Amino acid sequence: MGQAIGDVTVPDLSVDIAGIKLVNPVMTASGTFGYGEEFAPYVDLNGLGAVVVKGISLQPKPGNPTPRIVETAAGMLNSIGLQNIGVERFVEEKLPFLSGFGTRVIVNFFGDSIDEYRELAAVLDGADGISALEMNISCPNKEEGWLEFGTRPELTYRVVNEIKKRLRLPLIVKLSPNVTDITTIARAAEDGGADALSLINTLSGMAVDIETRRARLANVIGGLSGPAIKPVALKMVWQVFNAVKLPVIGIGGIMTYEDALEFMMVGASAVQVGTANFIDPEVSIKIVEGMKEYLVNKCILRIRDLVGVLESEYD
Amino acid sequence: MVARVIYNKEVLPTYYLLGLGYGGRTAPSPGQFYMLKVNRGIDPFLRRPFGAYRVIRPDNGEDAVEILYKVVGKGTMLMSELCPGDGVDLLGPLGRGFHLHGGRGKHIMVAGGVGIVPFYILAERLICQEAGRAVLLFGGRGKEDLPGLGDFGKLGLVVKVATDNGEVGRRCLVTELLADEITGDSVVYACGPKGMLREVAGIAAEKNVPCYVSLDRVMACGVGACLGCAVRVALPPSYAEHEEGRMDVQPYKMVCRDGPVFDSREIEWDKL
Repeated sequence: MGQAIGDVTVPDLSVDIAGIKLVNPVMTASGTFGYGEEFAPYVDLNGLGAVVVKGISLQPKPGNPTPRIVETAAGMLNSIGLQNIGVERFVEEKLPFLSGFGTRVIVNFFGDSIDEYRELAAVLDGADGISALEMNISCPNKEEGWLEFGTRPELTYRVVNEIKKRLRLPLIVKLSPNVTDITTIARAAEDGGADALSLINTLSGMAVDIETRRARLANVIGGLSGPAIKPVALKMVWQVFNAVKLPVIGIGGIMTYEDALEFMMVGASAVQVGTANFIDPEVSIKIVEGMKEYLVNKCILRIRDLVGVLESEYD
Repeated sequence: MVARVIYNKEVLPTYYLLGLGYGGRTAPSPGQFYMLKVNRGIDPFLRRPFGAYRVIRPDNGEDAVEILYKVVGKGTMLMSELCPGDGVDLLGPLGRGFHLHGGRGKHIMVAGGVGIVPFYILAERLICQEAGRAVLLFGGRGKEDLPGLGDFGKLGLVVKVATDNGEVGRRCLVTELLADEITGDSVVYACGPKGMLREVAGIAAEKNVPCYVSLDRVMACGVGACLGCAVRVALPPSYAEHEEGRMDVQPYKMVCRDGPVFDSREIEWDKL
C-alpha cells in the first residue's frame, strides 16, 4: 500500500520463464498456430508472449490417414500424427520468417528414441532465433516397446536428463495428462533438469459414428482439446504447481482472459492458447488485452503477482 | 472480421442464400471459400467452411458476398435463422481457387447439388474473358435440388440439367451429360459429391483433358495450421520404396491451403 513502484494504468504483464523474459504470459500452443506464418495475415505476432511452433522431428513426418479431426462437445479430437516438414526445412524455411518478429520463438520437438531427441536438440540448439525448446514427451519410445516417454517417471527422467545436459537453450518439458499421477512425472522432469513444465497436452479420447459404426478418426484414438478439458487441466496445473519448484505453463481449453487468469491463480506463470486459435486467430491478443484491463480495474501492478494466489480457505 | 447480414432467404427447401455486407474487402476469386462462425457460444464449436457463391454490387445499396448453403446440421440450422442486421464472423476469402485456362476451347463446369457454389463466379470470369464456349452441367435428385439454376440462365451460358427423377432436364446422371459433352479441347471443372467427382475425373482422364475438382473437407482453422483437412495425393512410384519417416515427399495436401481446388490427377481417389 502506498508504494510508488508503478503506474496502475500501465500494468506490467511481463513474466520470466526458464530464464527468458516474455512481454506477456500468453503464448500460442504447439500444433495450433502452424509455424506462425499461417496466422501472420490475421494477427500481430509481435503482441504475443511467444509463439510455440508445430512439433518438429528430425525427419519429415507424413502424418496420419484421414479423417484426422472431429468436433466434439465443447472441443475437438485430433489425430494429425505429428505431420511436419522436419528440422532441416524448418530451420531453413520457417525460422527466418518467425525470427523477424519481436515475439519469442519456442520450438516444440519430439522423437521416438533418446538418440533422435538428442540429435534434434543439438540442431535446434545451434540455430539462430530460438528462445527455448519445448520437449513433447507424449510420444512412443521405439526402444521401450513403444511406451510413451511421458507415462513413466524413469523414462521421463532419462530423456530429459540426456537432452538437458548438452543443451544451451532453456528446456520446457510438456507433460501428458494421460497418466495415473502427473506429479510423479513432473518431479521426474524436474530431477532430470527441466527449466519449466508445460501442461496439459491433449487428453486421449475417441468418438463413434453410429451410422457407419466406425470411429470418427481413422486412427480411432485422438487427442481431445478445447474448453471440455479445461477443468482437468486446471486441476493438474494446480497439482504440479504444488509438487515442483519449476515454473509451470498452463494449457488446456483457454478461450478467454478469464480462463487464462484461472490458470495463473492455480499456479501457472504463463499460459498457452491452443484450439481457440482455430476459431479466432486474434484470440491470444484479445486475452492479453483482457488481462491488462483486469489488472487496471483491480489496481494490480504486475501480472506475476497473481501466480498461485488461489485461496485455500473458505470463510 | 464481423460482417452484417443483409438478407438470408430460403431459395429452395433446405437451401438458403445468405447476403453479407462486404464493403471494402478483397473479392473472392473463383473457388475460394470463407470460414464462418455464426454463433457466439461453443456449440457448434468450430468455424465451418463455405464457398463464395456470388458478389453482388447494386447501383444503390451495399456490396454483398453471397453464401449459398444447404441446411445439413446444427450449424447450418442456426445459420438459417440469421436475420438482417445480425453479425457473422467471416474469415477469408481463403484457399486456392480454379486455375483459369485462357483461350482453350470448351469449358465444362460439372456441379452436383450444392456443388454449384463455386461456379457462378467462375462462369462470370470465363464469360468476361471470352475464354471460349462455357457450359454448365448441373445434376440433382430433382428440381428442388438445383439451387441457383435460374441465376445461371441469366449469365448467358449453355446450361444442361440432369435429374434422378427427370423433373427437369434429362433423367440421367450429370456424369452422363459430361460423357456426351466432352471434347478433346475441353477443360473440366467439377464440384459435388465424392462419387461424382471421381467419375468426372475418370472421364476427363480418358479424354486426356485438364480437370479441376473442388473438394470439401472437415476443417478446423482454414489457414493451413491444424492440418486436419488433409487429402492423400498421388505420389511418384518411387514413394513405396521410401521408409515412411524418411521421405522427402509429403503424401498429404491440405484442402484449405493447397486447395480446395486440385488438379484431379493429383488426388488419390481410392483414399478420398
